Amino acid sequence: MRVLWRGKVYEVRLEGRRLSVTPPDGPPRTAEVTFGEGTVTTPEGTFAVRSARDRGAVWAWAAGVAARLQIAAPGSAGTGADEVRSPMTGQVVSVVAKAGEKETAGHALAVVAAMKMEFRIESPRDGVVKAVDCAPGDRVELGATVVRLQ
Amino acid sequence: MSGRALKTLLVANRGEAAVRVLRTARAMGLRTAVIFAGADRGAPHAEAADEAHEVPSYLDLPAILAAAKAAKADAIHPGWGFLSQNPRFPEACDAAGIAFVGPPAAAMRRMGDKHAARETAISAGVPVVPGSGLVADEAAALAAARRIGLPVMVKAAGGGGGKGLRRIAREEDLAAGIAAARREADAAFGDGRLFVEKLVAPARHVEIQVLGDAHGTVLSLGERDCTLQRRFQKIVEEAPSPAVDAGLRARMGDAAVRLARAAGYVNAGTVEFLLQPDGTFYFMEMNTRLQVEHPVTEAVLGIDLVRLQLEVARGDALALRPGPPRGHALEARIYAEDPDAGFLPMSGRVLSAAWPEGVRVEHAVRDGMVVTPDFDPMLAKIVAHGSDREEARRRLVDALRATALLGVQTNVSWLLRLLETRAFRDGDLAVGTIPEVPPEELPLAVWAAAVAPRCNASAELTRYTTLWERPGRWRIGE
Repeated sequence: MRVLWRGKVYEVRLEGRRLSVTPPDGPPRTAEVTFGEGTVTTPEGTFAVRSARDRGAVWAWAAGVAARLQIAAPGSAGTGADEVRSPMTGQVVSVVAKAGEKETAGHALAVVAAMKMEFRIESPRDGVVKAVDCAPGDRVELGATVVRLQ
Repeated sequence: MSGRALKTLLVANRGEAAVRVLRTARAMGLRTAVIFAGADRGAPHAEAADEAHEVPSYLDLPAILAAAKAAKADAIHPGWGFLSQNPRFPEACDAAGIAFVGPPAAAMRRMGDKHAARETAISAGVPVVPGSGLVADEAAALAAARRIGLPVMVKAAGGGGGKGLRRIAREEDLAAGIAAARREADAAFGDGRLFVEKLVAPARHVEIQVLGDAHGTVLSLGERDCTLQRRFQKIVEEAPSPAVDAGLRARMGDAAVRLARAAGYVNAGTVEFLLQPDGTFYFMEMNTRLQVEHPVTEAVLGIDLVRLQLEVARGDALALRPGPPRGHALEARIYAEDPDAGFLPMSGRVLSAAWPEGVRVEHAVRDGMVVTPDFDPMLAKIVAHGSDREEARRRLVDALRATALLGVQTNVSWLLRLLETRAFRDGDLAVGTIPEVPPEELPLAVWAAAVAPRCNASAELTRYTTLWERPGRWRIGE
């Protein structure tokens, strides 16, 4: 299956006891795995594991590392850089980007506040702003589109 | 000599702070009460006391005093955060005849104002960072920054907890940085007064725990090194500091005690210093309350600071004669945040949690609990003690590997990578820089857990329904 983690699609296969994980930008990692009662044994050792279903995703944990994994949509190559999303749930303090204006990578598009702290949402690349989808005072959810680039 | 009876304690806080204070109060045989605001009904802290009183908000002082009266409390412990550094709190307690477990209002007011604290330090002969007086407006802040010379720190006089602080290194960032600091300070403290200090770098954040009683004794309980910070909030703290020897400890302790005496300080407080590699140090600010990271001091001195606070509050004379630190203690703070994406705060529902054994764990997390952007993103802290720094580090690594938090992104895996860096192992740290931590890679066991059968492994794997394949629950690609 194709699994989305941190914006990248990994090809994950479990055939019998053979697990292979192929990242989009590197060689596959392959190993024999053995499942026990709440444990997984890999060549790295035997680990307690946990997993839980989340809305539209699965959380998996071992050795202090927890990851939220999603099934990748067909044809998806990861998160496109056309839609700039809010990295957290919070409130829009100010919007710098204007539709039709040029932006350069790293330039602030908007400022969002959470936990009484302010964070700049920066342009992921050079481009032209196609649309601004938030306004000062808006509450934005994690992953909500803030600005779209052409 | 004992001043007043202390039978019932109200803890005016929530989360792990309230749980920690309540634990000692119960161990001392006190009756306990705690407050909770709306969404926290039934939260772990609300169930950790003999009785829980609902308040409209953790900042509602009249409601907190009403709760204390309803509980027949003779003392209130403010914990940390919320109203713990608001001088109106001890004033209101005095007026109500309730002991406030903290410093007198006058000392809190003087040291809580960063600028007045600076003036007190100067008068006590404690070195301070070169800087401006209070600046009237943003234009004056700009002028002061230019006079002092970049890089500078812009600080809110009423600030704390890393809010209302800006490090500014470039001329073109000055105006925006000053404006943001003022906005943050206004929003967080209702007080937009600013001053400007020269940035001292490279430096370590080393703080001295002080404890005074009502009979004129003020003790230094040694240092904590809290150099590892992000956005001016601490990530990993330790005692003793890898950069402090017995001689420097004595000098910094003396300075902190002088300052506490000059301020008329009673009870537990922390004097924060910037320590340069050559051993010179500058007063930064004083925290007029118990600190989040107090457990590392407790670990190396074998004391219970909350117990000492309560004894001081009831009028006892301090009998403690602290010796040198024994071994080494490390505390890691677990935050709901994504360090691999700029340390952004994360929210979500805790789907599954498990904690390590054999170390001290302070938390108030419960399965199903929703972590919201409304409170501080710290979920827990883990304290490991060893005979030396390396042993403490290895114990902390083992503890973090056994820590499971699913449903909310946390910094646990990043902490594990941080603890393995050369810079951390060598204790080679400076304020404002975080060691370069390698990018996250998922262990194969995590991928295996994600595609694992739900049930036991004795049967054919392929026959089992995995977590992914539950029709009707959620759509693929959602």
